[in-house]
Amino acid sequence: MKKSEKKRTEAFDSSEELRRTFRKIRRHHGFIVGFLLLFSLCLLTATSLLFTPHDPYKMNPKASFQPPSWNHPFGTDDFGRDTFSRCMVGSQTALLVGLVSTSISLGFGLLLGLLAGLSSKWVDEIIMRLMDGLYAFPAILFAIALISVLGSDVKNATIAIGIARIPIFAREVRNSVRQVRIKNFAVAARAMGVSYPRQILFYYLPSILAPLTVLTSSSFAYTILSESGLSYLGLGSQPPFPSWGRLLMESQRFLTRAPWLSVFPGIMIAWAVLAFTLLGDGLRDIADPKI
Amino acid sequence: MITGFITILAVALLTFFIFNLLPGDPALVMLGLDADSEVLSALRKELNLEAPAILRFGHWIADLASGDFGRSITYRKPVTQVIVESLPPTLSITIVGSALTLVLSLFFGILAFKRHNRWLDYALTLGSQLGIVIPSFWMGILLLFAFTLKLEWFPFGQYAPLRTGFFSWLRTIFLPSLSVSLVAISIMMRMVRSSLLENAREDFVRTAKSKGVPERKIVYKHILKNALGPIVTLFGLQISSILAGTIVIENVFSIPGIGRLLLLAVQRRDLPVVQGVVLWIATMTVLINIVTDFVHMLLDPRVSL
Repeated sequence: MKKSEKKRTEAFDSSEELRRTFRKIRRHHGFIVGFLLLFSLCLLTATSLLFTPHDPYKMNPKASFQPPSWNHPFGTDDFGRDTFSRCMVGSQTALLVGLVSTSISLGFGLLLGLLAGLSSKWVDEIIMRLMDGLYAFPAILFAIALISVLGSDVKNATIAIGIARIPIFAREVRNSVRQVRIKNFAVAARAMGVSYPRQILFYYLPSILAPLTVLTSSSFAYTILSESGLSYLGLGSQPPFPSWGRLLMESQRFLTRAPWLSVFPGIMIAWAVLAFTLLGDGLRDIADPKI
Repeated sequence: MITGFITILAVALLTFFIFNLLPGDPALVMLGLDADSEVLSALRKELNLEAPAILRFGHWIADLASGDFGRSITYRKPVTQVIVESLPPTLSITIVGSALTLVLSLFFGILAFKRHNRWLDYALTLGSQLGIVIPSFWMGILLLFAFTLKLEWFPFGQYAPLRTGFFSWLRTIFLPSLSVSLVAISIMMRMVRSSLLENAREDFVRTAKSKGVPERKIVYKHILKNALGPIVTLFGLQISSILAGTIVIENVFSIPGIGRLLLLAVQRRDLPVVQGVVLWIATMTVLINIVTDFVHMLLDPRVSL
């Protein structure tokens, strides 16, 4: 155990470790597929900021309910708006919601986790029991609760989903900190009087980094799913701004008349979620020294 | 048990915070911006909004403990009664969904394990990957289109209570249950497969093989039994996520359960009902976790609470 640990720390400093990681990445097909899916999605989003094939907001009653064609790859909706362009713009919502709410969970989770892990038993108990309580709220339920008081808005939905997922990050950070805290090098650092910020930065963060990266990636997937669910209920993005969930809600009324409207936004959601899930699974395998 | 109780207390504290302490006037939210100021102040008094927060929390939790969740504004009935009336469809979907999850994930998981590294294993693994990323409400819409609108095998927007007959009951909730549990089935299946594979490498399997124990018995009696602990824990988590999933899925199929009630209450600004449903689901989640830990302990003598 000790010998292998020593070996690992030595390898970590050398370029050998980097080369090994790259080899692992190259051999991990899931990770590569996930990366490509995410890359293409980001490309699509970036394009939509500058240009969409049609105006996503312009109504054209003459062209309503057109089935998929070269001109309208995803067809048109009841107002004759191009669904492909609307899906492109919808990817902005998805990625932005993912980014903001994951940052909220990551930021506060890190803060509370470090606080609980490094403080006395009582502070730890209070924080972690509160986290247990928060964890009992499924993200979508917590979001609905907040929205019922603050009003439906994609901003409120994003913040609520972010808060609901703080416990997942806080637990991970707190448990890793507790594990590192009793190791000899951490005890030595405390005995030498290394300042808290330095301890956190150089002693605790390195060991938390790998699990946090994995969590962050899967959190994106979960967040995008939750937001699309909320928007589907009409509690997330508000019209006229398109989001994938909202597109599905609006199209369900025309399910028999224009089924394609209910197909493509769902594929977009699955695409985004698949990208982040594969990436997360890949990162977990790559970070695992046993594989 | 004690941690469970403390967790429920934390749930209550958070719920109270959201519905009573957040900036915003609950009376104004309920009555709308153009409400009469006299009506507003009367409602504020009725909701006890003028007392200090800590006193209000005391009153609030005492009311909850005696089963009083307040009165619904739109239904003009106690919230408890409104929730209880909406429970049967939600519980039915959760139970049928959980049963589907358990049966199908074990079936497919064991199948994939037995055909490890053959095409069926790959197909099942790929299928479960897709099952995880497809949003349940989209699955619901697709199933609705195919089986309700096109083939007309299932009715839409109805719920038939169990007393009207098992099959008419199952027909109204089968599609929602299937779509809501698809993610759970996929997650569980992967877990069953991988934990079976892991346990198959253990020494006791080699010993059993060399003793000449038949293959079937090794799989079901030795490998599966040892893998069961983590499977049960994950299954508990999946039950709570299926319960949470009913919020959205009931609205896809227009089934008059808790999820539908919750959305209508949010739209009609019936905050007491929203609060009641939120508390109920969160508390159920905690209780399911406690029961799961308990079952885990019963199944695996190495684990203690």
